[in-house]
Amino acid sequence: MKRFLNLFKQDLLLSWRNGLVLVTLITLAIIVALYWTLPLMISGDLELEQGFVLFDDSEGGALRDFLSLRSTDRRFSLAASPGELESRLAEAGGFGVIVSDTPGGGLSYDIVYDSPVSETREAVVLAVLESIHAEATSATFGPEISINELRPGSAPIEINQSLVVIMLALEAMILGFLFVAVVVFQEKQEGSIRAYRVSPGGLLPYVASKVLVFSLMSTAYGLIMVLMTLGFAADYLLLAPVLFLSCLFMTALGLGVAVHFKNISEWFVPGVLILAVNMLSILPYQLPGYSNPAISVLPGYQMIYAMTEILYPSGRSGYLAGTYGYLAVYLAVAALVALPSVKARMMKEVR
Amino acid sequence: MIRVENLIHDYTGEGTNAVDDVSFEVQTGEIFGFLGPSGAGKSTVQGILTGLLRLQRGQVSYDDLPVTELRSSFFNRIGVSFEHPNLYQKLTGLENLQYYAGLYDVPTEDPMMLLERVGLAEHAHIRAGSFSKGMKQRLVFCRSMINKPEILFLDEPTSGLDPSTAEVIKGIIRERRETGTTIFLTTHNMLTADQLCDNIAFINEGKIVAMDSPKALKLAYGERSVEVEYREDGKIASRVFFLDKDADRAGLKEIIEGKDILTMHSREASLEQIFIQMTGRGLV
Repeated sequence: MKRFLNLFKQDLLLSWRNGLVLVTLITLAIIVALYWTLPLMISGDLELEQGFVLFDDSEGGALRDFLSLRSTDRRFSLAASPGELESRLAEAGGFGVIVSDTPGGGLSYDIVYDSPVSETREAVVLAVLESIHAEATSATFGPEISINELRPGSAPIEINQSLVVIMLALEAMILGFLFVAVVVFQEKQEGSIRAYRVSPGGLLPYVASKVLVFSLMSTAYGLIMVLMTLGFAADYLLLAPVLFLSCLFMTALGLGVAVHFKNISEWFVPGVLILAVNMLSILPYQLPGYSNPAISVLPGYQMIYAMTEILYPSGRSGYLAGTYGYLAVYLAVAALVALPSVKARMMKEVR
Repeated sequence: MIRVENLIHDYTGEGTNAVDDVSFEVQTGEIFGFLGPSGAGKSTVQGILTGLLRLQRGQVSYDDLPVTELRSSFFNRIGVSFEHPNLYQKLTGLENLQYYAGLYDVPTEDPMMLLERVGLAEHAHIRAGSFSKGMKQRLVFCRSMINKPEILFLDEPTSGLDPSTAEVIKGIIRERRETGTTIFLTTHNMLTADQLCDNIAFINEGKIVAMDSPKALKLAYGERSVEVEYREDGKIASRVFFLDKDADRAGLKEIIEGKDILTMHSREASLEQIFIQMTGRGLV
């Protein structure tokens, strides 16, 4: 234990002196800033649920009455004049609808936007109006549809909230993978590993120290990121162990891979390739229509959905048990890669 | 005692042995010098002795315990100083020693005391990366002694050191021998070997070509002669007398008795001269 603590302290000190802690903090600051500014930077063009302002100038006021009676949400508001409608749009954005009578006895709809909109949005607005028009002007209401929810509905995940999931599942995990490689190459280049070989240090304390230091750093990075973005809304008791185990796996894998190369130049292509393959996990998450069984076994894929369930629970039962099952398999694989590799490549001279 | 028998090591596996049938013994408490030019096989032998390299063929044992049966606790008993300073550049001199001290299960030296001994105390809190080559060499030497080893493996311990610092290091090495430490000294510096070693082995192209005490080697391979400088007719004259020749012995006696002798030196061969004589190549 004394030996392990000595190694742990030294690896931590080297992480600090090598600027790895600084890099982590800078990355963290960028992600947190992105989380808070992303909603401001994204155009409201596709915010289809944005409310609208209605001015019903028709004789019967059919649309006004229909919406007032039928609509259960308050995503529309009534204006008393076209001037009021325009001033509200100027203040709050969105779109307005002016309803008036036609000479033929029908209704005319003028749609007013506060700024130019895409064809997609225009089509959606038209479809909504057509539907409302059909119901508002018919003698009877449409079929009664009752909706029963099997479990409490989860709120939609905003794009900046997805960012937290992706960064946790992919970026926090790869920090350890990268950092452990940096330290391994430093020890190889400086030759300090040769001095370790002729000490009673041994394999297990060496591996445990490296893997734990960088796993803990990655985990701390992830937890602080969640704290600075989602605050206390997240369940940290569920999050911390899953995050730590996933970082442990990736760091151990990174160690097992890095020791096979002489320097970071040799490592670069295979190392980045491994990370790139793992990054494919993002495809099914961002493109829900895309499915690929090969991708579903990637660690990144499992972690993305595990983190989503932990941070934004949908109520699915048994999901975490499955995640721990996958993590157990991943960790076993990482141990099988790392321990023999470190023993063969770091604990003995290699020519 | 370290015993090496019929040691063979082939890096390539193609029959080009880096070490070829090497045998020697190092007695407890002696300084054993392993002399040879670069690429002769010195570091390979040291690598096998310290467990850095796997034993391929032959036997290596410490006090009759085969090297293949040694456990990690064996490393508590040895100290290794490498030719190329291999330190954590981002750690200070003191931190480097403290870190390695923390790896051992045996009582260790006070790192500051070691740094003081080699003149690095005032640089203790400076990162090793900013040390000169000589300072790094001294720090590596300190590190090899941190666990009070019974056996010290020193690879070119005075390389890159100025003469006065080299003398300090040699003094420490002699002290260690006095306290019973066995020292395996690998070098191509014949002067260091001559000054320190009780026994030496010359290794060339993977084979040991001679092995004995430095004095015995010099006597065996040098000329028994004396060079005398003396004053004659107001001038300084010089002459070499070969002691195996009757005429020279008589001439030397005549000069000693009749002339004003200024200097008189026996003319032993240097270790380097002996090595060249045996192998046809120098030690560098």
